[in-house]
Amino acid sequence: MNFDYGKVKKQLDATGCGFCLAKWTQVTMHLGTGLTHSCHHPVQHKIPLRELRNNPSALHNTRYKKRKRKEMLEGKRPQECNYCWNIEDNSNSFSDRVFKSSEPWSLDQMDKIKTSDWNENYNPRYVEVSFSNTCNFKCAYCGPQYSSKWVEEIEKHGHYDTATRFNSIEDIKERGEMPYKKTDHNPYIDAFWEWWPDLFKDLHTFRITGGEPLLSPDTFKVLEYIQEHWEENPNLSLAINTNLGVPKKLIDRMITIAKDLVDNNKVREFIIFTSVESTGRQAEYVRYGLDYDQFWININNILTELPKVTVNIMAAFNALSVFTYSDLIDKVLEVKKKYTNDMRYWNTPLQLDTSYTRWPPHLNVKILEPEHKELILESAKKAFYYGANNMIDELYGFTDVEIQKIKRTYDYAVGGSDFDVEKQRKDFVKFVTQYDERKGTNFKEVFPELEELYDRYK
Amino acid sequence: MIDISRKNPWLFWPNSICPSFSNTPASDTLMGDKYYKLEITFEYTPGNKKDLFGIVPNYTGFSVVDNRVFLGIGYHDQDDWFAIDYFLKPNTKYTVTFIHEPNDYLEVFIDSESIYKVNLKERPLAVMDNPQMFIGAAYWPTKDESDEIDYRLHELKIFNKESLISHHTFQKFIHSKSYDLTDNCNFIHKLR
Repeated sequence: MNFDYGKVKKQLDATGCGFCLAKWTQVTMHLGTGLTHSCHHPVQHKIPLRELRNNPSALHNTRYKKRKRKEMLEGKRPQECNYCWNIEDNSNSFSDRVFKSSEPWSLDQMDKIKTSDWNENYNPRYVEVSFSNTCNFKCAYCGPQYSSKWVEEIEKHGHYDTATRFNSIEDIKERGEMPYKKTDHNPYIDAFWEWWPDLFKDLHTFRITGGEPLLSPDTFKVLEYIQEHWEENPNLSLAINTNLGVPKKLIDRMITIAKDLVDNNKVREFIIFTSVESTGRQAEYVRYGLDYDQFWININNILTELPKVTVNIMAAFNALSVFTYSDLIDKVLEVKKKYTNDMRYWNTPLQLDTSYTRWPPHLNVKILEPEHKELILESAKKAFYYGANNMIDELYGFTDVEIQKIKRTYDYAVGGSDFDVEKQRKDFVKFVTQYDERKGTNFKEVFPELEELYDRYK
Repeated sequence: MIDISRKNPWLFWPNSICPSFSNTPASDTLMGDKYYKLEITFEYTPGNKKDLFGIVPNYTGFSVVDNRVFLGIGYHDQDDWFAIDYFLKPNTKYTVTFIHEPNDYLEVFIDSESIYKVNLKERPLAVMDNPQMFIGAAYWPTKDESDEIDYRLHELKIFNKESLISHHTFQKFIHSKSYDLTDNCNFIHKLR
């Protein structure tokens, strides 16, 4: 039976038309920059250091957020949640307010939250944390907020000469999003560790993001804490992001810890999130720092050593993904086939989760020629043929969601919008030209399919 | 060409995401309220009962019993079964064609010869929300059925009013699915 989202909406609306449980139950904390938000729609806001002095849970329970909670409990709609109000006012669809509040770990908190004082501190059930921007990659679509390698490059060469001033540190500083350096003392990390013992016992899901989490000592510190204190929360859903491009000893260390957590039922599930959205040299060009062959060796090692663990590839599909995405689909199917077993929480050992990149706009798939966009459809069709066939017990194929997200990328690529193709193509060529100059790469050699477009806009 | 046993029939991929890939999902075309032309080129092996295809749940299909052609027609009120005075030979290649004009007629051809025409003006076909087309069997097979080959299937085509929407020659397979030469992703897969 389908979940009754209508019923949840009525329950929420009984408290207020702007009431959303995510404001209490969910948080993403960027400790490297001191920014926080409960869901990804409102802009992240700065955590005032003075609030942390007596209340480390202000990493989530900031005064700013509490005022938004007050509005929600008093039947108002916080302006920052406009994304949802726009959907609710202009369609019959349910907004993310309803979907996020319907998560089982959120919904069961409704009675407690709706009768609470808006000023109370609340321990979230779903937490994403980024300890720092330390990273050994500088992916083409990433930036200084999430990569220390990008900080080094921009400090040396300045921002890219695009209309968006791509990766301008001045702009990032102006927005208050510049991360602490690795060598600097970071009071947000102190606050996290002060809050953590109390936070841990209430968690449903804990996900570590970055930067590259395996390069942060805090990642291993938190994993070891869970190893030791798992009895306080034996049903934790634990997830970690990694680029799988760090030294082997760090990956082995993660595997060893994961093996203990999973084999001894110290967590409910353990998921490893990674990223790639093309293959071979093209992947190494875009995800600068990646050793593509080693990436797959690492995935194979993880799935061999951890037969209950699922790896999820978050593919940030961009203009440079189209030419080899089909090969990536082949590779993913091969791994799905090799490692499918009946021991996992999820059916598949490897998921390909495709999302299209909208930022930076010069890497948006909309800059592509029509014949190149058709390659996305061909990839989607291939994944469709590779669909899991429950009727013949070939369960290792692609799921409907995996297939549809590739098809959705094609629909987005060819869909109408006010996207300025000419402007972004010019920026694209400026970007890859500077990218090559700074990194010693050779765009035309790696992407001969785009040589004509490159020359036209050069 | 594929060899099919009653125990292991093939069917159109009954998938909810087909419509996102094609404006003309083959299964929808067979719902009972739309025009279709279905062409199947086949030969059958000796034996007393062979089911070439069956569209269910309201059964419309083609069978050969003791070399005689039988047709199932899934009317809106009930399914009927017709023995046709037309005989075939095993190990011989034929093309059977069904043309359905909704609320008008259903006509069946063997090669180019019309062997039966049903008037649907007073009694139309049933309209099915989610039709399934078994190929090489009339319905869901059971595990105790024989593995012996019943049919050799050479080609399958489905047309709607405008065009050919699914075409299989069973020469290319992807992940156990027969490749649709029209590129509409109306693929056929082995049931077991």
